Amino acid sequence: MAMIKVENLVKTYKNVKALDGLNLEVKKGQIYGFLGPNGAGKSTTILSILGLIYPQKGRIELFGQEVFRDGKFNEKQLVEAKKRVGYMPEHATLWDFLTPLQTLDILGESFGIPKNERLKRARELLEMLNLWEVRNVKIGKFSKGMRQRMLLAQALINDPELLILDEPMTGLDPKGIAEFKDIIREQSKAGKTLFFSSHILAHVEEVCDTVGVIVRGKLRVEDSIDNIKREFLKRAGYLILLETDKPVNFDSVEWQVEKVSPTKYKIKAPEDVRAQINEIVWSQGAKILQLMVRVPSLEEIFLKMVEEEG
Amino acid sequence: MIWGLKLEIKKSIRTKKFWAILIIMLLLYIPTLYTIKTGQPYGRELTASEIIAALVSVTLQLTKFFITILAIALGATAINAEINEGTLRVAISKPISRLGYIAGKFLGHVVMLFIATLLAVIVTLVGIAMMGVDITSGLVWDVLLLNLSILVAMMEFLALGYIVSLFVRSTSTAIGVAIVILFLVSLLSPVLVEYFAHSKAEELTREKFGPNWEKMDFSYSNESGKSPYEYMNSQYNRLVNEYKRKYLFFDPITQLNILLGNLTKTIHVTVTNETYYPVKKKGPGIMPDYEHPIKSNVTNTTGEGPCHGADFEGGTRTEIINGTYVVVMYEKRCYTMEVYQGVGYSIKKNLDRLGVMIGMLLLYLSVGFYRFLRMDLR
Repeated sequence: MAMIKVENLVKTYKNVKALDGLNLEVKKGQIYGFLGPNGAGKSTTILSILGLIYPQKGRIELFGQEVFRDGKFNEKQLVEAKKRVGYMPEHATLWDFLTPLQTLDILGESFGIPKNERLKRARELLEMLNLWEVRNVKIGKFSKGMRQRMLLAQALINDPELLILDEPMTGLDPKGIAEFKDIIREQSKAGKTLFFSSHILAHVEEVCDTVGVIVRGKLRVEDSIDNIKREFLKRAGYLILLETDKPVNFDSVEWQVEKVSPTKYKIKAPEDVRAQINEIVWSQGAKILQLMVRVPSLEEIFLKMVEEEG
Repeated sequence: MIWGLKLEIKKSIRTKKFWAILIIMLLLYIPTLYTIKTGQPYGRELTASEIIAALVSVTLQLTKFFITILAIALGATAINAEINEGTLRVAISKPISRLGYIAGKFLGHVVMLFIATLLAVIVTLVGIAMMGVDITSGLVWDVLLLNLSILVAMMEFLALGYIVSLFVRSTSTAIGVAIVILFLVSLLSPVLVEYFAHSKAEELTREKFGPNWEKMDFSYSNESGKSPYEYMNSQYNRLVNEYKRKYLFFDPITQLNILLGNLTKTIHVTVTNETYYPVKKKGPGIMPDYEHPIKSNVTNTTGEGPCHGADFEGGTRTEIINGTYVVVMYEKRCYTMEVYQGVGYSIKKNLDRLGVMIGMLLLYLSVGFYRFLRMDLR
């Protein structure tokens, strides 16, 4: 069964087309990475699914029930569906003057969870997210990472079947990202369907089984992360700038090598080949003065994709 | 809706904003009570009704400047701040409807204002008791009704603030816009109405007395006994009242002033003193025997409105009682009095104004709610 089904969704803000006939389907049990550059329509899609913004056209189904059709939300169906959804917004704060326990308590109440049950659930979540120690500290005093974990905790208070996360790893350090990925995997193991957006390829790596790429309001590619990555790098490749103390011979390699000056090279390769370059340079008795690698951003790759499509 | 209400109350009692508003409201009563106390005449204590009358006038003045600003500013940052912080997205992602959320939120604000109102009532009553006035149930009722009427006006401003917060995204701009709206609605439009009433009154006077009415003798009076200036004044008062009722329906303060404008009732008391004298013969004629009055009657009659005709009238008349002539000397004095009737009386008398206030409240709310139901919350 499709947990989320979006058909031909169109949303225009004033003159900007944010969604241009988006089609999307997230199946039960998937960890779906929703990838796209900034301004591609990721948040707009998520906000539409939750009934926070009004698309102009299209259709949205949640858990097989139609919640939106052609400019109108079915408020009753939407409220029913939201009981089974957990949502972690991007750039959001919770109420600064409430403590984690108070926040989870009042938010849990909106689902009609009995008091003792929601306190038990709150404790489990705060312990899992290392926030139990600070359960009675006002959220206003929290660090960025703690706030992010608190936002995740509130999304999990109803033990949702579908977890929608908007840019959950943005602003976290590598350790935080690794921890977050563990949490996502755990939630998936617990039987949840996950749908999360990101504009950074590394965030969806190692966790997502399916990745959808949205560019300019349309879903361009939908595939496994490995295939998408291969495809991307084939299109873009790594650009390496090398400067040595004396000329080096690159005849043995298959990469595109451009000689900018006798000791300066521009190398284009499908993967990160700095180690190999190092070896070649040293084996020919030369020294590296400068070695720079430039990986094109997802945005550049995406835009290239769009241009290629015409 | 209940959840939205609970959320708002839980939030409110934990924010400094609410307590600040509460303390400011209560602090406002100290100068109020002090002003009343200093207005006390020498030689006697103020009566409860005088205190209430003074309280109403001072409180209404304060309401204009402080409480309205607080209410509209509270409303003006109600929704936009939550959108900017993202808390609204968290709240609406929970299984509640938009209408339920905003209705609950508004109700939460009203409950908080109501608690503030109740505290204000208590502070007022304590203040009055400290002035040495006995607290009667009538007094409690009056203070309560006064504050509840103010609450209705505050709810209107709160709803106006909500509209601002739903159309203006930045909270600081919203507060500015709210204050401009307050200025237009409650300060500028009454002045405009007074100006138009004045021009109209002048026109009417000119029609009646000719173009040179201003140069006429001050004592000039026409058949109705009014000088041009008096005529113009009465026309002006009538027109201001009429225009304010007709055109300022949207301004809570004006309507509140009219609603509480009849705390007293004008009545007149006519005291008639009649003394009956027998007639005795004296020389060739007859005359009343002032030494031996038969009886004396004092009667009081009260009526609505001011005295009609002369304030004093006296003389003698002759009557035949049981076949004999009697001379009656009579004196009639009329007093016009303002009798305190209470806040309840004024509200009952101007119930249509309460209707207008509640009607406008619902209108403001429906504009705000409609906008909230249709807008993108991002």
